[in-house]
This record gives sequence, C-alpha cells and structure tokens, in this order.
Amino acid sequence: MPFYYTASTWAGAGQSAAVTTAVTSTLGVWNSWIDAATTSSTNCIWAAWTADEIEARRQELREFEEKRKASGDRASALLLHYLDERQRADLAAHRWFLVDGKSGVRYRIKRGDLVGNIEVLNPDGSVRHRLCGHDRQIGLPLDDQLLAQKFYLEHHEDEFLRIANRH
Amino acid sequence: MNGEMETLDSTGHTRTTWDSENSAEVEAARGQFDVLTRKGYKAFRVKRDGGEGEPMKSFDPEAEKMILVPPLQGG
Repeated sequence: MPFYYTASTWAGAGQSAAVTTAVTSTLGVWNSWIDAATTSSTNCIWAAWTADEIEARRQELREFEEKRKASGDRASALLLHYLDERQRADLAAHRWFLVDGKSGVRYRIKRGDLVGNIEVLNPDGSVRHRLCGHDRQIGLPLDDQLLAQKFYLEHHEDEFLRIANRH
Repeated sequence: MNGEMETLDSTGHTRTTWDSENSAEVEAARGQFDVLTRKGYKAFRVKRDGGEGEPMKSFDPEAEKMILVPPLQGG
C-alpha cells in the first residue's frame, strides 16, 4: 500500500528529492508507481511502505481489532445482565428484544444496523413506525447502544421520543 | 458497604467502586457522577442482579449499584 505525500510532507519525512515522472493521469501514476516504486505528479508523490512499516500497520490493525472485540464482548455481557429471561431468549432467537414504555407502548429494539433499529409496535404487534436515536459521540459498542436505548425507553420515554428521528 | 457505578463508554463500560465509609472514595465517585450528569448522562439506580432500574438525579453513596448512560441523539 502506498503513502500519499505532498512535497512538504515528503521533505518533512526526511526524504531526499522525489523521483519524478511526467505522468499526469491517475492510471499512469499507478502504473508508474508499480513499475518504479515511487512516482510523482507535479506536486505530490506516492511512496511504497517498507516491510517494517507494513508490519507496523498490520500490528496496529490487529490491536485495534482485539480492542474492538474486547469492548464488544464487555458490552454484550452488560446488556445480557440487564435483560430479563424473556428478553435474553428473544435476543438469542431473533436478534431483538421488547421493551415497554411507561406510556404502555411496546418497542422492539433490534440488534444490527442502528439506523431505525427501534420499532414502535401497535397493540396487535404490527410496526407503527421506526425510531432512530443513539450515542453519536462516545463511540459505544453496539450492545451498549441497545442498553442505552432500553434505559431511555423505560425511564425517559418522552425525552427519547423528542430526540429520536422517526422513519 | 461497597457501591458500584458502571459508565457506558467505548470500552464497553468502566466500573467505579467505593467504600461508603471511605470519604475520599465517595467524593471521587461523586465527582465523576456530577461531571458526567452535567454532560447529559442519565443515571439509574439498579440492582446488582440486573433487576429493574430507576432514574436518579444525584449521587447516592449508599446506592448498591448505578449505571450511567451517555446522552442519545437522533440518528
């Protein structure tokens, strides 16, 4: 994978003069980069990563994935802790669980894509419409998002209905 | 008595504990609670077994367990 450098960042990285070519098209730049390892247009340069750099990026990616999995596992465990037996069974079987608001309205919180993942149910179980409301600042793992939605719907239903987008 | 507060965050959650007889620990937990609730976090008193929760407005050092939920926004 190549890095993208401007002339100034290339110099800032302690590199000497860039190898230049007369290539100006995108395809030409790629072909030239593949052939010659480095190429440039008039004011930027593509440079190949060294083997050490590639390994460093791979290690970063591995560590990121490990942290992401660990945080997801912690969130899942916490969510399950706060669900009752019926909710846990529904989540396992259908990837959703039901929550009752103080208004008497029943909500179905679906695990998956967070966009419109809350279904507002009619008394007969049909879907009236969908709601979209979640954390957008902290970067909560998915199951923490579901837990937050559950607490909001159970205890701050009116506020949640005000802030959530309706689909 | 030992209290416990779980704050939802990017790691899954962070757990804060205190001994209600230890004023330094209580004040540290109270400070964290106050900072987060001022930022719009919702606090809930919950049971250790995960049973039904209830909203709380202020820190209670005698609470068995609390959970703090960050503010949600329309998506």
